[in-house]
Amino acid sequence: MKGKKVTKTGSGRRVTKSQEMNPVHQGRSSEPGSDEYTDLIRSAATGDAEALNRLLMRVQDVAWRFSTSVCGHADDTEDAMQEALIKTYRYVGRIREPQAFRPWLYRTVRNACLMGRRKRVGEPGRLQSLDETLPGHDGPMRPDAPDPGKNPEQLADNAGLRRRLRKALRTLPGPYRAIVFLREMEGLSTREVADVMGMSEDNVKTRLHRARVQLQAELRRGEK
Amino acid sequence: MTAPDSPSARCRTLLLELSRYLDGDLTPARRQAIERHINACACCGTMAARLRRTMAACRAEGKRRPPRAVMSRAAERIRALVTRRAR
Repeated sequence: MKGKKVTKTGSGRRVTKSQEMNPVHQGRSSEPGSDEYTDLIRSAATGDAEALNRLLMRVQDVAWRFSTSVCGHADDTEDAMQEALIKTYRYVGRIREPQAFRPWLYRTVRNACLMGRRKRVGEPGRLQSLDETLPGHDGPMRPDAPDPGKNPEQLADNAGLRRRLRKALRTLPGPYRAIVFLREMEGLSTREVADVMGMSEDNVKTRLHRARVQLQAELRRGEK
Repeated sequence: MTAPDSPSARCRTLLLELSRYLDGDLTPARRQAIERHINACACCGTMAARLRRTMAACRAEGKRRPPRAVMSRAAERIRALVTRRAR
């Protein structure tokens, strides 16, 4: 271990920098069956071009969502997407534990966003509003699947709620926003979130709770 | 019964457990105790409903998809990468 940077994961497991960056060496996997990427990774690793393409598109999707929801800097988005794409492509054939892929992916995207922020220290920045992903900014947004059970009033109410939520999310400190994103929006387990964020599960739970309380207060303020 | 906007000391103590309750992260005994309290206390009942609504809104926001232009550029990046490696 001499000379190598060692960090602690959420579970207290010590990993070197290279292990942190490479899912090939992941020592612990997430809960079995909780990872939608497993089949895609296994197929892609055996040379299935279609599976590889679908996996990489998903990676791009995740990187975009993380970057726009958590980082919020317009210049970071394409860089984070590119970084996640190249790293996934490079490692996909060597991943021994596909269940560990998802936390690795979010860590990679998060690191790419953090690197982007460091590069820009001293530069005039432009924060991207989440609403910039709406129509008129970068092409039409994909319509969400219509809910046949909802009437127009309910749909309008939902649209208003989502606008308020995006505004409320921007009031959270960065790490809280990342935890809400990973746990609530992306559905990672608390343990996976702890792995991505490099903190204990208890810490994740406490921060998640505080973030929820702040969000609901902001949403209430937005209603008035 | 405590009013929704003036939580008692006990309600404030239970607030953290409320999140764990909503995550299904409590022992059966604690879950039942929290459920009983929520049903009897307007303050915590209201807070539980608000937190549930917030969590549901977050989940809906998680289904957000990139604009078509972004995904076109992503597809192009993937094509370029795979083609370059294949050569």
